[in-house]
Amino acid sequence: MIGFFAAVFLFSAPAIWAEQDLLIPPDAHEKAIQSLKKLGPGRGALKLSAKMVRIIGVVSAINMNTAEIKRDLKDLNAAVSDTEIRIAMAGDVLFDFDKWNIRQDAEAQLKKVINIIAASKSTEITISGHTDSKGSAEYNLKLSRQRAQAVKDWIVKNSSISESSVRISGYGETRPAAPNSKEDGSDNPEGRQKNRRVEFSIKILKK
Amino acid sequence: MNLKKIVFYLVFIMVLGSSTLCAAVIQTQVSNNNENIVAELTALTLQNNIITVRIKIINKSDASDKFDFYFKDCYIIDEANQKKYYILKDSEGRCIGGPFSSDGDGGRFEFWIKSQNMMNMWAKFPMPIDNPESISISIPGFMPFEAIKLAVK
Repeated sequence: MIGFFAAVFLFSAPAIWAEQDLLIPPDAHEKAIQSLKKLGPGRGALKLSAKMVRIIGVVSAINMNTAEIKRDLKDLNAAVSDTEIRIAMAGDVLFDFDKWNIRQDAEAQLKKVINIIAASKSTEITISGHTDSKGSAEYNLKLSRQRAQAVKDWIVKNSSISESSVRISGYGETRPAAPNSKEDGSDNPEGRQKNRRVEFSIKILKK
Repeated sequence: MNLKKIVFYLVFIMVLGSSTLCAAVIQTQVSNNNENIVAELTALTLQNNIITVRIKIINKSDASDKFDFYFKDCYIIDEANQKKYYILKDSEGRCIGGPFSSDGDGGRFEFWIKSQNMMNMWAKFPMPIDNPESISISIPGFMPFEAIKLAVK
């Protein structure tokens, strides 16, 4: 009888509480010791700035309503909804012509993006690159991807934002924000300038 | 055997069963995009200047869900001294943690967890050089475990 009730209990217990074996290989700790020795006295420490610490939410008081974040959102002309923050940054600010390495002048702008991501605590960030229609479609697609990747690399390198939280895409000239040419067929440099851009989509965490 | 004895043994078995099956939880954090998915920090030990963490990922939702991240993206933060430490890697570049679904890029965690089910994982990090009292632990896809006290084993 007891055995019956014991069996009923054990087999009816929710699977969620069933402890699965977690076998740490016996040599794992020795490998860790060797790894630590290899890192040297610094143990691989990376120095964070105060703003970087905010990014993983360690400073829980940070929120979207601080004066600093409001200013950054305004400076970047960000579009904020309940679920997403969208920012478009001019390609001419971020990159030199035909290049994809980040211009030093652009770093202040990118730091504002980092601040906003930190405040939002988002871990779903998409960076998309766009070009104007000059050059071949294939070349523009490649350049837009390289630029999106460069922005991602810079952000990950200069913050605590996880590499896996940031996705990139390159659209080349396929998603223009403005016409590349005027109605009469002539060149539209203002429109092309708007099309050379990098967009950020920062999903806001559901509460 | 009378009814009183049966009830007694039944209660005894339930208490014993629940105490052995439910591990202690240091802190619980939710998934970034689903409040029914949680990660429980169930153990943290410090030995030879190495921090070992054990984490239980639980799917409390009504559907199976896939969890995927690279172990190389796991890290701890010494917030007092503003330093960040990534997961340790062995001589072949594999992260010292597990379980792996594949070895790519230092080790990947990519598993489906059924509804009302769980899966354990573990990872080893360097003890911060400044010997802080507490750390934060970041696992991709989840809010960070914050202000976790360090206990010497």
